[in-house]
Amino acid sequence: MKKTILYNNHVTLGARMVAFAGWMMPIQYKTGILEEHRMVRERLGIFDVSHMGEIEVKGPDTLQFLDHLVPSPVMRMQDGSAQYSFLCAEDGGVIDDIILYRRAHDRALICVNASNVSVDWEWMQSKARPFQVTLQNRSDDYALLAVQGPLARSLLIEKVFQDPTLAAIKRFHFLPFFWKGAELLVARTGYTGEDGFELFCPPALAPELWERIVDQGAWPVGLGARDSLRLEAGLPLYGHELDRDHSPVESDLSRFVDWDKVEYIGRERLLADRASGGKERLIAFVLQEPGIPRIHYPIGVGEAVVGEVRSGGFSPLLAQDGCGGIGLGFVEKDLARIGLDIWVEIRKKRVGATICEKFLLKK
Amino acid sequence: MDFPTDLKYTKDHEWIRIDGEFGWIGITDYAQQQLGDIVLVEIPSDGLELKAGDSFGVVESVKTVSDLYAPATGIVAEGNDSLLEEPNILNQDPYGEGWIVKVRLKDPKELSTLMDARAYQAYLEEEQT
Repeated sequence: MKKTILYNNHVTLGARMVAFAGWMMPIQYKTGILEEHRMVRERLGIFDVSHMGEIEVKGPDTLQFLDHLVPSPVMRMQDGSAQYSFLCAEDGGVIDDIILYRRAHDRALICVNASNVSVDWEWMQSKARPFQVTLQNRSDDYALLAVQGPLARSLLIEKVFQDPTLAAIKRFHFLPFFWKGAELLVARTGYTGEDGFELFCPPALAPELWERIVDQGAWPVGLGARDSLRLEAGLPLYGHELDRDHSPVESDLSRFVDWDKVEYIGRERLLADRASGGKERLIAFVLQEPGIPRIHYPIGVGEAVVGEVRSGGFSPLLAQDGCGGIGLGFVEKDLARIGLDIWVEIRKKRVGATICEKFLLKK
Repeated sequence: MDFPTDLKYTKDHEWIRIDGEFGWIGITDYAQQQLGDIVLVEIPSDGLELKAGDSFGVVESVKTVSDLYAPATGIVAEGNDSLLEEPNILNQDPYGEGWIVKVRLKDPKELSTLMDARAYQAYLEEEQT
């Protein structure tokens, strides 16, 4: 079982540690998941996500390689911009969702899910051969701290780094930044639906950076709240809303595809799914009666089961009158209609729900 | 952690307080700590007949679903409806405001087989090793 460089910090804080993707990670601290969730929505929290992977691509064909590899508009990127994307298989199913960081025309960093580092690495290497690029798995070279919430930006710029140049970083952009003699990447990206930053940092510096940010008022937040926050923001999780069986169109992520691009892996299936709508479609729903939807609970309309829940939980923000259950799931594509009344089977009872827009927070 | 001495305890981490012919039932401090933030409680309807050991409801935390098991045989007289709006009362006051059901006991003598506070504490220590 692997440990991040911040393992001792979590244990000292009394975190409950669990095994996740081969790493011992904090699921919650003494505060508990709900309070940690609210803290990020109202103020700010800090997450240790050092278990995630980083693959570096260098060489004159960096952009061409990435443009072939992913369906998103790589050529529209500039130095210092980041882009949410996918590694698609030839059949259009998703191998992983990723964020691309373009450092220069010949250098990019790809941040990948902890559970898929090896698979992504093998895949990228196998596809890189025709291109003049070198790949390096730099996952061990980076710790990753996510600082998220309405107060995150001012805390980092004014109190932690005390550098106004960081104020210029726009959403989905990043800057290399020197701190204590080492290079950090300060990226305005995140997975909570709030404003905030992700800090790529040499592991040796991570404990000090973590302490500094916590001392200035950031609340340590575990993976439990990370999951409830991303769900409440309608963000997909690999293995739940994204997998090898569904194309990005079916996972309701068409807006990240460059439909004008004439060549990339998986294009055939993506175009076909856009034309036909695919077989299934991801929906968001809220329960209209008390209950908590959970993965694999059946979704139905009328007398028929038409799909299943892929992620479900409790939304502190949306909860009222004893109802707070929200979820994401796949249904037959023709039923993916906002406003449609559906039911979710919870312990043999059909609990009423409604398909809705992905919850909140277009921030 | 709390172990009020006026209660009886079960191996499923529930407690029962005898009140004449009634029993008040809830989950222990240990249970609420293990579960984490509780977001939903399913309470049985008044009049439901329970046999000792039957599942009579559900407690859900953010991450888990947990069945509740009847510590004794009887009929549900009242359910704590405030838990429907504020399930976190179970976390905050598991032995007081966090009571889940009040049951008219069929045979209060049944409870002599349950653990007292000291035995439950010892049981927990054993479970943890």
